[in-house]
Amino acid sequence: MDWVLAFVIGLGASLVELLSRYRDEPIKVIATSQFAWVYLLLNGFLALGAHAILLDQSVASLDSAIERAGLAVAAGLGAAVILRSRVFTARLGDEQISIGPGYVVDQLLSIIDAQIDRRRALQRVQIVVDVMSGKDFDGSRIHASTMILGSRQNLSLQEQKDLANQIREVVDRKIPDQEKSYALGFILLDFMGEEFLEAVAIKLPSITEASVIAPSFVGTSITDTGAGVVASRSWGASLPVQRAKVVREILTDLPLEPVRQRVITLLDSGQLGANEDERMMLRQQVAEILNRPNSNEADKVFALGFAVHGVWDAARFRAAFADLPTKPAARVGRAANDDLDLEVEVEGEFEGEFEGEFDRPTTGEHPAINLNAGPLPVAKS
Amino acid sequence: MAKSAERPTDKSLFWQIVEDRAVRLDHVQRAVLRYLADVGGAATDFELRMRVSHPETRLRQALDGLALEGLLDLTSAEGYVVASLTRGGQRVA
Repeated sequence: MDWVLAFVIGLGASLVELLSRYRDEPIKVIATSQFAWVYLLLNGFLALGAHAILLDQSVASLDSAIERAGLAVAAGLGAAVILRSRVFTARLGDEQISIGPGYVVDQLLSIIDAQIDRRRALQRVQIVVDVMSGKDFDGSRIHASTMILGSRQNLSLQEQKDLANQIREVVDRKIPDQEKSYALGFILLDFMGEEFLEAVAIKLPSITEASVIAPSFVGTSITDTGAGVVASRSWGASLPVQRAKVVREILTDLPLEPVRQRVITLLDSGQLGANEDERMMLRQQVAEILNRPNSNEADKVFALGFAVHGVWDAARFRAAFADLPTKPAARVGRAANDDLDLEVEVEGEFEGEFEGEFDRPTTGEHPAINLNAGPLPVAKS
Repeated sequence: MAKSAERPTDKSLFWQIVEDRAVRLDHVQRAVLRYLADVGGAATDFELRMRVSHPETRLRQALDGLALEGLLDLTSAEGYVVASLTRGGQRVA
């Protein structure tokens, strides 16, 4: 039994040494490398040898099992210490060499290191290329960082700093985004291991996927990809332009009061807004729009329209407002209302003078400090 | 095992190192980004003028500033200027 104990202790000491050398999946690396097993067995057998020497020399009484076990522990640890001891250090050229039994272990370890590293390098490349190919670097960086910081409860400050510095280094490098994604993959592999990388990579935003997802434009929020980031935009300008055209087409020349009443009626009847929270939010928006001190009536009408169109599609929006009466004086120009200039056709004396300046407060008040600033200057062309 | 004193209470240090770009935004720019985020990422200048409620010149200045920071893409379509959030802009918004 004491022989087994000596062997296990010798082997255990070298196992801890190897575990500390390989940060990602150390158990897997050691289990799949015959060179690691050679090293472990060598240490185990040397512990057995030390135990045999101690038994042969009869350095202690061996009457009880406990005493034999103590001798085995001493042999296992002693072999580990002697194997790693250095008698003195010599300088050969620019290199310092430790002379002693430790030199043999160092050489052996460096050979094993190189062999394991090469084998593991192939596996690591395969893993990282598989999971990080086509991933968007910026989105992946943020998502992976959030997942690591959120999931690791005992992450020390030093570890945070190391991780952050490594990621920053990649951010600053002048290499293509795909290479940065691979570099991020290697960092994640080192820091969190293979299982974590594969699990997180599923949610990382992908550059290639985005072209398929984005054009559908069904999401109500920009975070609908699941990863918190939309990887790429390809829907162009069509939707916002359509929104603007519909609002302008339906609401141009409508007076404020009937529009306000219609919106309030829709809110009160529960037709507008999916739930009470949304209706509350819309009521706040309506109140904010109606209370704007420096906004004219037409702007308030359009603002109400956009607030409603934000929760309704174009067809419902048209149906809700199409029957409202327009201002009698303004019906003439309604047919050509897509032209930007028509937006300015308001309020008597300023008509036609402030093209492109219709956002200016028509009351003559300073927009920021609400003081009467006198008549507005005439825009010079 | 880390001592309790070494355990971080927050992870601000990490973000300070990774996200050190100081993006200074004024209140109009913040309002624009927030509105764009609310409506799905893109809006015309007409819609922004109506909803963000600032003078046209001020809004234009804010949009140009955001575009310079790389937070917005500005394109023209059918007489409108369309502002779209870029990937960087979404985090700020």
